[in-house]
Amino acid sequence: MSGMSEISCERVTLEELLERYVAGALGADDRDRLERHILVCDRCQEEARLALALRRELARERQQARGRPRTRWIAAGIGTAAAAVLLAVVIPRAMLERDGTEHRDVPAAEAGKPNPFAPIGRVPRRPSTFIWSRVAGADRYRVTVLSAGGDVLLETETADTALAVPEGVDLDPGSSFFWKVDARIGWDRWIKSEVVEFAIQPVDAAPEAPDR
Amino acid sequence: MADRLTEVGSSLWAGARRPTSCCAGGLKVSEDSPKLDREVLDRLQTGLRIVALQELGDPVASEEVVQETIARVLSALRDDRLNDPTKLAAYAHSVARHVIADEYRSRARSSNLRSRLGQQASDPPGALENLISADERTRLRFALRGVGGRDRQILRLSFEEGLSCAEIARRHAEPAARIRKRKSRALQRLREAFFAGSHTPTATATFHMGADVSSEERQQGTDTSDHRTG
Repeated sequence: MSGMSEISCERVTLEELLERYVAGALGADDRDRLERHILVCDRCQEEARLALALRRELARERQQARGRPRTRWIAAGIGTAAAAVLLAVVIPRAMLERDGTEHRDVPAAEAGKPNPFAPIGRVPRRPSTFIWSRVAGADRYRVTVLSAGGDVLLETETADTALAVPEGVDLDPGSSFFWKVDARIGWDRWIKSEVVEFAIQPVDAAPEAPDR
Repeated sequence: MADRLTEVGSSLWAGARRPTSCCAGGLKVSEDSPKLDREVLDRLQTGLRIVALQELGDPVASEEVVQETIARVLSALRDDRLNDPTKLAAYAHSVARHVIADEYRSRARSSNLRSRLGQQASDPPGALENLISADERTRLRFALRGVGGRDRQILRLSFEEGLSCAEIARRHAEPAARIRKRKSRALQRLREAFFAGSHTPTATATFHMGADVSSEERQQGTDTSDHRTG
């Protein structure tokens, strides 16, 4: 690690490293170089603080924007709601309970969550492909693979429902890993899958070749 | 807590054997200027706080990482295990990454990994309090309200999705220079608001995040300071 070349403030700027860093989009090598630079560079520390604060504010705004239409709907439809209450009073209770069920909206996330198919559980060898279910309306999928220690080993996007594991990803036999897939169903709208675990069987645990 | 650590750190550092003058990743550490010791520690602490918060998103755990890392670095200095001060940053970073990994291991394994995966896109409330003041946050929030929707979208793609200006340009079928310029102007407004009342890095900065400087311009040594003031 100490053999890695260090980076300059100029490179941080030109390659937009801080933006990609706070977005979690930097590869491990660039991330480590940038972090070492941040430890000793006042200017980049200040820029990193701004970048973190900005990402936080943008996320906060996005969350507020999601809630806003609902709030507006409630405010604008208050008269309608009052009328509905009135109707509920005059409509016989028996009519409401006729089928004994109550209508509830199904959250979009529940309606079409991607399901990781493979690898799951104990697998005999390094998986070559990650496979998951298709989500209606999704145009991209983001796959994240973590080591048991929490390091992000792979985070990449694809339009397909399968991803060939790149050669450089360290999936060592005898280790456990976690992975999930997010499906993009609109502008900045992602549906997350469950996180699933898989473990690769140790090499020495593989069945031995029969004696000749 | 940070002050206490800095005091401890300063005393440990002062007790460490050092060369008369050395450079630790661009930082001058000199024997005859004990004040610089505190500066080095402060800078290291801030940098470690950024790294830990970015990785963990949890202010309490992040402070633990910062303190533990500083303590180990100072211990290494005291015990002469860090003989080359120019490698201070690399050593501190390596220690910090190990401490962060320990933090992950100490948590309940799968449940915390799950929560971490779920929390990658957003920080818990108060996550950045140790790093960003309430005033800075408020000023940034107000300034952001003045940024138009299109520029905001560029910032979002850049800071939330990690796309470069060239990638954003491709996505929107626009020239990269135009995207770069828009981003630079928006960032400049935000930067001025964020750093108002404190020192302003941009006043003396040659390069800074989102600067409207193309690599070609840099190679040619073109003065682009007028671009950045937009």
